[in-house]
Amino acid sequence: MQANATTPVIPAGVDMLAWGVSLAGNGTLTTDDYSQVEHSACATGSACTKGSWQVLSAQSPVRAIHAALLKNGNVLLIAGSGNDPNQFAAGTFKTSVWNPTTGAFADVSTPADFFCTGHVQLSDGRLLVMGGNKAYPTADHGYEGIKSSYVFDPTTNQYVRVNDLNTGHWYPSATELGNGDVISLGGLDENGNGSVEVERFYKAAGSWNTPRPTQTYRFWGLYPSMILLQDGRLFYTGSHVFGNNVSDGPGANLYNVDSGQVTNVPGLRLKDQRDQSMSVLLPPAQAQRVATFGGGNIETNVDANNTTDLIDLSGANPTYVPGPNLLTGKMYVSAVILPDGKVFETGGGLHNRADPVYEASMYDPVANTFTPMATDPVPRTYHSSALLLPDGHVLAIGNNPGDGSFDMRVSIYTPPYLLNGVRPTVTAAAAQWAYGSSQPVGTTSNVAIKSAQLIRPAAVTHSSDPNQRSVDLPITVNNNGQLTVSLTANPNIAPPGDYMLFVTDVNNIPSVARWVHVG
Amino acid sequence: MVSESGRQVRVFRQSLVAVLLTVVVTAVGTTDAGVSSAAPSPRPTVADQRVTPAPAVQLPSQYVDGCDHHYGSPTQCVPVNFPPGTHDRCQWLRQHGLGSIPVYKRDQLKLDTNGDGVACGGGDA
Repeated sequence: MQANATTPVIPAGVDMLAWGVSLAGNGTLTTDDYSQVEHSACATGSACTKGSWQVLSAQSPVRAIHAALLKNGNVLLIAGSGNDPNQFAAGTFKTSVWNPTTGAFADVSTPADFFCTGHVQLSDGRLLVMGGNKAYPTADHGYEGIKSSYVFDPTTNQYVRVNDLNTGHWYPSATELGNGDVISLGGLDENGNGSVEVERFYKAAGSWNTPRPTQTYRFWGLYPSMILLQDGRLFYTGSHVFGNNVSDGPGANLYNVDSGQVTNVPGLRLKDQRDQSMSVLLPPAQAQRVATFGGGNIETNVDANNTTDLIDLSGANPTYVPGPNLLTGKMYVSAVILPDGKVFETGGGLHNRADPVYEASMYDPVANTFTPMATDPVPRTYHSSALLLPDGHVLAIGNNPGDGSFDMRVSIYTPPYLLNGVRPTVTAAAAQWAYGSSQPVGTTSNVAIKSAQLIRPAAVTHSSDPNQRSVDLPITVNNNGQLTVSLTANPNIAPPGDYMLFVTDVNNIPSVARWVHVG
Repeated sequence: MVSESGRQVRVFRQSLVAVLLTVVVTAVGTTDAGVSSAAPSPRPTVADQRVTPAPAVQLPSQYVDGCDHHYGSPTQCVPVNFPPGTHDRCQWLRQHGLGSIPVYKRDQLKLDTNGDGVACGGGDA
């Protein structure tokens, strides 16, 4: 048995510490080993508790409307035409790969206009990209979606075309299922109408829609946030993009993709003001709790709201309940799961492509509280995103206000956990993990390791990354940091693919991630 | 479109109150009941494996982003509704980097009062 304790800050002049251990009951207590480690004090002022931001000197070479962390640690930044009709007219579509370690950007040949495409990590670590932009709006017609689909291979930095979707999709969702298939829903079709086509990418075939999946003939709206639950159903959280919630009834649903059955889920407040809110499957994924943060409505243009609604989806009749308010109202909000089990929310705006909100906070799912954090000095409204990097920092990128400009600056957030002591390290872990397996994980740490988790790499746009999740790895053996952890046997909890393995010590300081493949 | 009329009306009704008068609604029908449902029945069945897209839901997609694209470039956004408390829309636009905006086809927000084809221009009230 091992126990750990951290003292408060020790005042100057103290030259001795006394401590003891006691047990209640009959028997004998023997202490055969102990150690004392000095916990280095943070000396960076308010950053010690609120973190800090750095705006990089190098700017993004592309309008980063879409961002995805790749299994090699690089970040794919997709612009397509970048909401720039001149680029569209010229047939100039852009993608860049950013290396967070070196800071280098590499251009990627981009074969179609992926502006407002959908994307999701496949089980083999490639990124599936579906739909995109066929036409910009005029006074006479609106946006239109394309049918084409590609996979981006991080080992070659190339897009490879797969078969077309059944309809065009501009603003489609994409959720990976437990078997590695992908369901894509919603958006505008090739004629600018709302697509009701359910599109399914089959992992085994590596292609779309053979056989054609069960159709519901239901319009889910634009970028509907569809989170995979442990029973294999999708939860439409009510978070969406543009205007009112078009879902029937209370604005949230459970959706069985095999039978097509859709069931209403009550309790979401302000369902028509959840435009560019953000929903997160709270850590750990096993708890099956979802939070939906903020939102607004670009049509009515009301002030964005500060409500947070929470739902426990582990029971028979889940219902959203009110959570604590955000510290300010915001849409265009980014919410990022961190390895210490908290959710960092940042950026946002108050109105349609206007009035940025400079606010950030840390949501603690256990305490159910928001704590103010340092704020990104760069406005992050429409077409902004944030994601967790493998080293534990957070990337924030993009901003496209109504004047048509685009902010190319890149911000990096350093959470407090990176400023408050020596980080544990992962020294060994297998590259391939099977469901239900026990995995040895070698670590070094000044203090005991408290937890281990797998965090899925982001693929985010428009405040939407429904595949984001952190999977707890129960520690079954902890022998001086040589851990044995258990991976869930349920692929719906951890859909197959590449994950970041973090270990976190008793001071809530995480390691740098090590990549493992699940499934 | 005919068979989708109920849903179509619902979507129109939920969208873009400010511009509804400019949108020709051609279908009339009942709205969805908003109750739990399986897949509606008068559709192709699950067994239908044709690669035939399901009928789409018609939307006023030129306004789907909440911007009136009779103004400015497609990437700019003159909102179809201004934020609460906005008394001078041109001032609001100028404060947000949008002044003297070209008008295309129809000045439906009445921002080009002198009719010179430029919204919130120097001669506009």
